[in-house]
Amino acid sequence: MTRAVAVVGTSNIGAVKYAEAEIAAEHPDLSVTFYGLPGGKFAEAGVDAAGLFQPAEGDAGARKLAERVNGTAALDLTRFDAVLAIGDTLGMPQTLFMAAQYDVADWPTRRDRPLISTPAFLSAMEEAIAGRADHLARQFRGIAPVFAALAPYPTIAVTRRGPHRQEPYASVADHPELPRLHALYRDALARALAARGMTFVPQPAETMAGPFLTKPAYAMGAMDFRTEGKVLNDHRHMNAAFGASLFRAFALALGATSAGADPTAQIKE
Amino acid sequence: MARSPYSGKPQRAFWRGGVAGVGALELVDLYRPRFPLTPETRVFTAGSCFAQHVGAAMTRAGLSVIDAEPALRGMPPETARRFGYGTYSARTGNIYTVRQFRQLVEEMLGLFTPALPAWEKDGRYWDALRPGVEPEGLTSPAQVAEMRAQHLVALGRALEGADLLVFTLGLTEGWEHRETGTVYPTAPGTIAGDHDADIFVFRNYGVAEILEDFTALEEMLAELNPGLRWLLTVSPVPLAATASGDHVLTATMRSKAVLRVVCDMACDSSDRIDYFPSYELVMSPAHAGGAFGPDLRSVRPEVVEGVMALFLASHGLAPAPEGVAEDVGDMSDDALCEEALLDAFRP
Repeated sequence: MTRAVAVVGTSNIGAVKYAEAEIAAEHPDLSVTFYGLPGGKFAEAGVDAAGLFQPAEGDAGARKLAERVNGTAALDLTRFDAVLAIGDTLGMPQTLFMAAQYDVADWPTRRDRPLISTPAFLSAMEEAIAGRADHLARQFRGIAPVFAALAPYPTIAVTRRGPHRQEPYASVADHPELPRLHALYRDALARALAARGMTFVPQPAETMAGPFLTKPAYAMGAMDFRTEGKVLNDHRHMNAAFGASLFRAFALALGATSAGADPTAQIKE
Repeated sequence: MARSPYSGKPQRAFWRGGVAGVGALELVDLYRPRFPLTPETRVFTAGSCFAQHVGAAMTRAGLSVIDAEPALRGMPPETARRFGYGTYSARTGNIYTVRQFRQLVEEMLGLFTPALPAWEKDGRYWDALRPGVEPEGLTSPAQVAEMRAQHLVALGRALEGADLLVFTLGLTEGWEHRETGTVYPTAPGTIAGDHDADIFVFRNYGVAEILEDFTALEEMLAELNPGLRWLLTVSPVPLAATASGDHVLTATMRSKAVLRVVCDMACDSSDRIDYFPSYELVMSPAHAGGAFGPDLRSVRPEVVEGVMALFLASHGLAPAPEGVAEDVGDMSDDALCEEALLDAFRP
């Protein structure tokens, strides 16, 4: 039996969208529909009383854009068995800024930063996540089961100086407790989403260069979700190989069968 | 008409027309500041839980309220509030008694070492001198000491850089370590620790003791920061509970009366010390619906707002714009007050 799934989100859905052919081959029991909006417009979008996911009321520009990119201004989520929502950073920047600026009292390293207690740090992280998770839950209202994936971690290039510098990630580039922080954040995020009836789809390990970072190879040739062929190479948006990998993780969480997929396949840098 | 020493006195000298017949928070010429307060004045705030409103209103009005241990980028507001960031100029927690403040400054200057500085509960440890700032406690006494040491450095920096210290006197009752006189902001066993009558003793300070503590405190800080001036207020918030043996109403009135007298005596002793009558404004019988909320302890948000507006107006400063001022409602109800926890020990 074919199940209908929707991939909904920000420009980051591009990675999955451009992996459509690979996904179709790997997951013949899934029928996939894509619906994306630019970040700011996606944040304002949501499901209406009839179950239609669409831009904010009165935003004619966003509706026009949605129609051009997705072939429809609004997506009827009642038609789907599941939604993969991609694009929000779900409290991660706040968490990274906190980690960059404080030394957590229970952690062994001291970098001459103000000390913060572990309960305060965890509370801040959970509050930051909760605010975004609440927003995500309001956007989708549980019309279809929501599986949420973070916007892809940027590549290691963004931790250096230059036009692609991403401050939250750059600020923790040399943090001695990054693996611990990553584990804490992902656990907290999974709990927060579960508490709101959503399932967290973590970024696949094979795509990661380290905590909060993606291997550069997955950013090469990334295309604008609005215009096929327009290459971004901005180290924030990912390519089809990434999209296929992320979708594989989603399908696994969904319990879909895979045909011919090699879940251990890794892209070579 | 016969001459009387009251002849020719201004309206403010007469109850009728001075209070009666005037809006509770519209009193004319109530407060004459001893020294000006400008947006550039660096203000340090400390005191009992009512002081949270004072600091918040000053911040909203755009004054330069010092925040020596700020919530850094990324910390969301509820966490910041719950863990004592931005509540006062340093993460002192509530300072209820003048002796507590005196000992804090003595400790900061290396003149005093508090006894039993970490209190345990269920395997976690609280800073006994500011238990409210870490509501879930810390891992070990060593961690309490490490965080406290950092706090004292920040506190010293803030006090050195302040132009004005706004201090709200809250209580006369306190709990001391018998042997050393270390005073704690909460009774042992309220948040953490355990009460042992052989170790801790109840104290209800009188005017002379408090004045002595204040004088010592003021002198220490004058040495650290010769330009520092003081603005004293008395918290109108009644005691949640008393250990004095008196009825809590009597104990409250006694406590406030003592603190009020101390403020007057302190002001009389130095032109660097001012008093703002927020206590009187709240306690005035002119409030038609009463100044307190249903629990008869929390000052109604609009009263807090009115009191602070009057204070700011006295300095020629505008209160926060309307939309911002509306937030006072939430702030008022949420003032963090460990003393209120005593209510849990009611029979």
